[in-house]
Amino acid sequence: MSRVLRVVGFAALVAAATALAGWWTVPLLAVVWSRVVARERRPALAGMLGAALGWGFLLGWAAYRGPVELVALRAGGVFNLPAWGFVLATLVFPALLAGTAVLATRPSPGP
Amino acid sequence: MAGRLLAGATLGVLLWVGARGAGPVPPIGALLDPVRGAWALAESGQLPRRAEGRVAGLAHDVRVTYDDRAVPHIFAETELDAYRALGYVTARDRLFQLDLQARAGGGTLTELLGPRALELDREARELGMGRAAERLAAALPDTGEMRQSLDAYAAGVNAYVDAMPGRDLPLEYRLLGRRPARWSPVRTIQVLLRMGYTLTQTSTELDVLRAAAVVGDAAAAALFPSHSPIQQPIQPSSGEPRRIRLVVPPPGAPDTAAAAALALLPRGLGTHPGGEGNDLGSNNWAVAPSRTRDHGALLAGDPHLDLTLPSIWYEAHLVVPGTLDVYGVTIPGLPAILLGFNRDVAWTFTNVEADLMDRWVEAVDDPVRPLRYRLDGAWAPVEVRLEVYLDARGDTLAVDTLRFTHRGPMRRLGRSWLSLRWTPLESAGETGAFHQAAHARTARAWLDAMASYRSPPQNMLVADRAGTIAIRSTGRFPIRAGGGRGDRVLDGTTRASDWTGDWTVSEYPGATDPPQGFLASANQEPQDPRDQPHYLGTDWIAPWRALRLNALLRGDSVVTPETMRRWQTDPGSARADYYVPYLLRAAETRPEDTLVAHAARLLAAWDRRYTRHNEGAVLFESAMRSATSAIWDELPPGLRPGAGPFIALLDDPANPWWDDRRTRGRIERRDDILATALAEGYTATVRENGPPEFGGWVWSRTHRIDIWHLLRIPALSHLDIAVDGGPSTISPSSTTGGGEGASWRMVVQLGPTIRGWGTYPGGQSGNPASRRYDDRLPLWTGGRLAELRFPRAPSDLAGGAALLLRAAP
Repeated sequence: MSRVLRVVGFAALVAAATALAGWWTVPLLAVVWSRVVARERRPALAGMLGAALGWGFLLGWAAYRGPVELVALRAGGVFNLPAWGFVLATLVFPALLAGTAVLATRPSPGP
Repeated sequence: MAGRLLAGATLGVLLWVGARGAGPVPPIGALLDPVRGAWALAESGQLPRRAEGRVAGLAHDVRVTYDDRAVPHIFAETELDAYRALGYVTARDRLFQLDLQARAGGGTLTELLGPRALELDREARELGMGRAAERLAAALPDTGEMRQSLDAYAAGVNAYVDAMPGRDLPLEYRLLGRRPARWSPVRTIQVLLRMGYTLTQTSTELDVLRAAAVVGDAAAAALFPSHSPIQQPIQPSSGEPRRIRLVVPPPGAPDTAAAAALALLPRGLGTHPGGEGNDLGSNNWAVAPSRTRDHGALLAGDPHLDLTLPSIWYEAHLVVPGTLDVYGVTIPGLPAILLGFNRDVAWTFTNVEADLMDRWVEAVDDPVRPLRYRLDGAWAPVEVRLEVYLDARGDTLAVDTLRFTHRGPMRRLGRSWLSLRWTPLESAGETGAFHQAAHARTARAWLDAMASYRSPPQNMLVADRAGTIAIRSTGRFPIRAGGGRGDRVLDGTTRASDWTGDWTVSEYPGATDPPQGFLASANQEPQDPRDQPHYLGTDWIAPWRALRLNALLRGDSVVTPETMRRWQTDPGSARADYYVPYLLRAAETRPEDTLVAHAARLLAAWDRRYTRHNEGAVLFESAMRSATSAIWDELPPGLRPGAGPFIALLDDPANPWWDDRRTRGRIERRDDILATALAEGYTATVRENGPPEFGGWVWSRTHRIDIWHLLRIPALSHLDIAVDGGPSTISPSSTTGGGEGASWRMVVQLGPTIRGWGTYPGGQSGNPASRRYDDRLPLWTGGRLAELRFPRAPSDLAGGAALLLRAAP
C-alpha cells in the first residue's frame, strides 16, 4: 500500500471514529496507527496530515448539510479569528493531537 | 528523549484544553469537533423538511408548519397542547435566551455566567424578585388555568431539552462550558418579573432626594413634576395640546437632611438616567374606518426596548380549530401571544410609565442587623431570608441576608433602612388574561378579558373588524394613602402611609371610538390631570412623539396600511419644531456675533428631520446638549431632569436657573444661554465633524446604534448601524452607541379579512450559525415590513418545513 493510501486510510479512520465517538479518539488512533506504520519515515507528519484530512472531510460533510461559512464567521469571530482562521484551527487541532501522540509514543529505535 | 517528553507534554496540554478549556478558552475539542462541535450548528440552524418530536402530556398530535419567514404555525386540538408545542418550538429556536432571561429575573445568572454576574443577581434579589417568583409560583392553584398552561409550556420546553442531541447545543453553552437548565412554571414567572424590572423600575423619590440635597426641596420637587407641561394625553380630551403652567422655583439652599441621607445612598442607587431628549419609548395608534381608504380599521404598534440578538420577540401562530386562532409575538418563556391579532381583533401596547414603586423609611431595632421594625406603635418582625449565590459547579459564591417588611424588601441606607413595595412582585396572572383575550371577537370583549391584567401596566390599543377602536391604560395602579403621591420617601412607622387600594378598571384612562376617529399613545401622560382620579406617576415622558403622531393622524383622512408603515419611521420631530424657534429668537438678540449668526442660519435652513442623510440635526442636538448642560449646572453629574422643567423654563426667561454659575458677576437669562449654546454647539460640531460644507455633518455619521448579542459578544452582534430617527422622533433611537429602538413593528388592517405586516430587528433563530439569526435586519433598518402569513390550515403552507409532535409514551 502506498504511503498516500495509508494516509488516506488513516484519515478515513479518524473521520469515522470522530463521527462515532468524538474528538478524543484522534490521538488514540494515531498511537495505534504509528505502531502499524512504525517503519515509515516521518510517521508524525503522516499522522498529522491524515488527521487534518479526516476532519477536513467531516467539515466538507457539514458544509453539505448547512452554512458552515456562518459558523466560521461567527464562532471564529468570538475568538477574534477570521473565518478562515477558525477553519484552520479545526484542521490544525487534530493534526497536533495526532502528531504529538505519534511523537510521544513512537517505538524507540532498535539496537 | 527530550523530544518525546516535549511531545507528551504538548499532547497533555492539548487534551486538557480540548476537554476542559483554560481560562477564557472553552473546551476546544468539543468546540472544534466537526460532528458535535460548533460546526454542527450549521445543520441545526436549518429547519428540517420533516421532523418529529415527543412531548409528555400531549392529548393529540400537534402539527407545526414553518412559513418562509421561519414562523411556526402550530395546529393543535387543545389549547394546552398548543402551549406545549409553543414551548417546544421556542426552545428549539431560543433555548439559551429562555435560560438567560429566566435567570436574570430570578437572580441566578452566576450559575450560568459565574462570578462576573454576581452584582446583577444581587440587584435582582435585593429587589425581591427571587423571593417573589418562588412565592407567586407556589401560590398558583394546582388546577387553575394559569398553572396548567405554565406546566404545559414547561413540558414542551423540557421535551426539547431532554431529547436535544449534543450536536444541537447552542453555541453560547459551548462557549460557557454549560448545559441548559430544565424549565418550570417559576421560570416563566421570573421572565415576567424581568419584564416588570425593565418597564416599571423608578427611583423618582431618590432622584428628588439627590436634587434636594443641592437645590432644596421646593426646586427639587419642580424638577420632577407630576404632570407634563404640554398635555396631549392618550385619553382624548380637548384635541389640541393644552399647556399647564409649571413653576420652577429658583435653586434654593441645600436641604441638609437630604444631603445627609444622600451621602449614605449606595452608589448608583437613584441615579436618574433621563434628561431632555433622552426619552425613548413605544408607539401605537389606530384609525377608525371613517378615516381609512378601505373603510376598515387600521392598527399599528412598535414597542421600543433594548434591541438584542436574538430579539426579545418570537413570532408564532397558534390554532385550535373552532377555539383559538391567534398570531403575533411572544416573549420566549411566556406561553401567550402578547401583541398580535386573531381573525377579528388586533392589539398592541405601549408602556404606561406609571409610578409602581414606593419606598418607606423604617424605624428598626438594630441599625445593622434589624429583626424588628416599628409599626403603629409596636414592633413587627422583619422577615429574614438568606440568598445564596452559586457558581456553575454549585459552589457558593456569596451569601447575602435580605430583610423584608410587610411592604417588601428592605435596603440599608447608612443607619436607616428603606423598604420597598413594587407591584410586579405581587402579580403572576398575566398570561391568563392573554389567553382569554385571544378568543375575543370584538374590541369590547378583548378589553373585558384583559381587565384582570395587572403588571406591567400597558396602554392597550385594540381594534376590531366591526370598526371599533379603543385604548385603555390597563394594569394595577396603587392608590396612596390620603390621596398622596409616590414620588417621596414615606414614613414606614405607620400603616396609615401604606397603599390603600388600587384603581378600579372603570377609573383606568381610556377611550372607545372617539369623535376624532383615531387613537394614539406614545408613553405620554395618559390622562389630562383634570380627569385623573388619583396620583398616577411623575416625570412623564415628553409628548413629542404623541404630538407628531396626532398631527400626522389629523392631517390624513384616507389612511392606508402603507401610510401606517411609513409613519412608523417618520423622521419629523415635534421636539425640534418646538425648540428651534427659541434658539433662533435667542440668536437674534446677538446680531453682532458672527458665529451665532452663522449657526442660526444653518439651523433655520434645517428641515427638522432626522433622516440618515440629514445635515442639520447634528447642530441642533449639539446646541441642545450645550443648553441643558448650562441650565442644569447646579445639579450633580448624572442627574438630569426631563423635558418638563426645561419647557417650563423656556417660558420663564429670567428664572435664576438660566444663570451660568461659571460667570461670576454676571446674570444670564434664557436668550444668553440659548445663543451661547448655539455657538458652542456649532463649535463642537465643527471640532468633531469638520466644517459643514465638507459633508461631515451627515446624521448617520454621528448617530448609529448597536444591537448586541445577549452576552455582548461583538462577533455575534450587529454594531454601528445607521438608522433613521433621533431623539423624540416617532421611531426614536438611542444616542450613538445605544441599543434601544423599535423591537417589533406591526401594522394590521381589519377589513373583511384581516391582514398583518411586521418585522423585528433580528430573526427567528437564536442560533448565530443560522441564516434566520439576523435575516430580518435589512428589512427593519429600511423601515419596511413583511406580510404576515395567517393560514387557516397546514395545507395553506404547502412546502414549508414541518414538525410533528406526538405524545411521549
